[in-house]
Amino acid sequence: MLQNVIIGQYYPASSPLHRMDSRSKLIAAFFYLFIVFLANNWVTYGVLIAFTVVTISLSKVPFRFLYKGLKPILLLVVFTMLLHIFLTKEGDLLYKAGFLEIYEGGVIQGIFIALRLLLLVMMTSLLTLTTTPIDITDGLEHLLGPLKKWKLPVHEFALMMSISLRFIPTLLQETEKIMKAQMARGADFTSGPIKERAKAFVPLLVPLFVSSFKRAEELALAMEARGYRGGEGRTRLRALAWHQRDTFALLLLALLTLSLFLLRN
Amino acid sequence: MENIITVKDVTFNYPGEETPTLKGVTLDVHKGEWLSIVGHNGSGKSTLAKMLNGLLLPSEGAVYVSQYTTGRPDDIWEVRRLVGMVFQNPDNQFVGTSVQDDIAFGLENFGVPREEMVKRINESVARVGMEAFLNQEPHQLSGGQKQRVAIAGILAQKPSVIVLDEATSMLDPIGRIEVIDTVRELNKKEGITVISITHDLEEALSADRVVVMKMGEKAAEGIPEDIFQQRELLKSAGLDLPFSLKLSEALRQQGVELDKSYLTQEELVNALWKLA
Repeated sequence: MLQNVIIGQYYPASSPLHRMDSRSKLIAAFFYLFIVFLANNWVTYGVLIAFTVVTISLSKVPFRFLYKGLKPILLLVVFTMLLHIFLTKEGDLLYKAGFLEIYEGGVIQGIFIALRLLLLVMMTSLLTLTTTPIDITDGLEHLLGPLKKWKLPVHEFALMMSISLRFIPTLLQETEKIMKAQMARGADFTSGPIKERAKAFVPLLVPLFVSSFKRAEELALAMEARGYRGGEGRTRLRALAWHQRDTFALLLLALLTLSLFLLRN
Repeated sequence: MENIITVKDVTFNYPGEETPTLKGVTLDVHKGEWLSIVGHNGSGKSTLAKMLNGLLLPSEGAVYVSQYTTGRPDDIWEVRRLVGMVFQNPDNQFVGTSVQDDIAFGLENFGVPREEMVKRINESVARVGMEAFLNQEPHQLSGGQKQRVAIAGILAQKPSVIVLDEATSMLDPIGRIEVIDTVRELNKKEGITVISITHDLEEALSADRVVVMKMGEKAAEGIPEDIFQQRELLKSAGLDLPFSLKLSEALRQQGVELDKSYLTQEELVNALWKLA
């Protein structure tokens, strides 16, 4: 059941977006979080949607993968939209039934907020869909590098991330093994009321915790044996390469920001 | 013969423990040899292994590696580069997210420039026969393959000594052969000194010399043929004799005419089929 684990939600493909440097993608996604809030009328939302749709089609990621990322927040989107439709009382009255009043402003607001949420989530999932977790880690380490001056443990943080990523499949395999061992002795993980099922997981988690601590200790020893002494003076195999397309992408984003500023009310 | 490692009168106490784990151990490791250190659990063999690259420092005495001393803070990194260590659990020493990242880990620690790193990775991965797996992730590899990657990671650091700390005890028979063959080739062809720590006497058979550890002390030292004659000593050290040795002895007791007790299966088989 835990076979073929895919860490994160990376979708392997060869697209201009996949080939971009993880740093430029991180910067762009972060920047996008802010400029989405610049849109406040139909034209600006239109521009944003066009930009997002073009980016998605460039990424070659099938829509159903994006939809998987959207699913958990769809309820939230619908809820906030309804909230705005019923509670915002601006513009012309469109419909009235008893105490229920729907105004034109409310409908427009509701649509805008829903669009904003959808655009945000789609763009950020696009980042994780086109970049491997380890590349994101490398990119973050580079981008946050200057913070080392203020004694922020950026290297340690990145190393922790990459070790966690490396151990996820190992721990999943181990979980499966322990689960089978417990099931062979009559443990039942799949039926009964929730309280019982939660209890059944205790004999699964305890051995997993114990062995993880043992692993951590042994790994630390092995790292030390291979000369690990912190981030100081370390070189790295993984090289990030900033290409023209990265600069170009950020310029495009700047252009988008400018046009949003010009077109908004 | 030139010594690559000298252990001099080493005593070691784990903090808070009454009896020392190592008691006045003295040991020479010759350049280019295959030395097996055998002993039962708690004999101090693993502690001794961790002394060799300065993971543990002696409470008394000293360990010298080439011209370096493990106790000197200035020397410790060079000691760890020269003495590579393969541990027991194949998973818990795999640091990188892929084979090449893992081999690079040691090189990154020693500040090797990137171009040189790529060269050394490709070269060392070929020496353990794992070229085809450069981009594989650890969970896609078998135990034996992971141990070979660990060896490649050490080779990339241009070591003089490889210490196998029970490195084959968690592997299946095929993985065990894979790892031992890889190490033997490095030992014979490239003259890399090998120290294998094990409780498996079968593995010690391929050694040039064997050291028997018992209760934190060195109980015996010599070539395998001599060591395996000392039944009582091995038994009191809690070690099980190799299968072919036990079999040839049992056969002799039953009146089968064998010239001597054979150490390896191959020797025994050869002697048996020649019997009239």
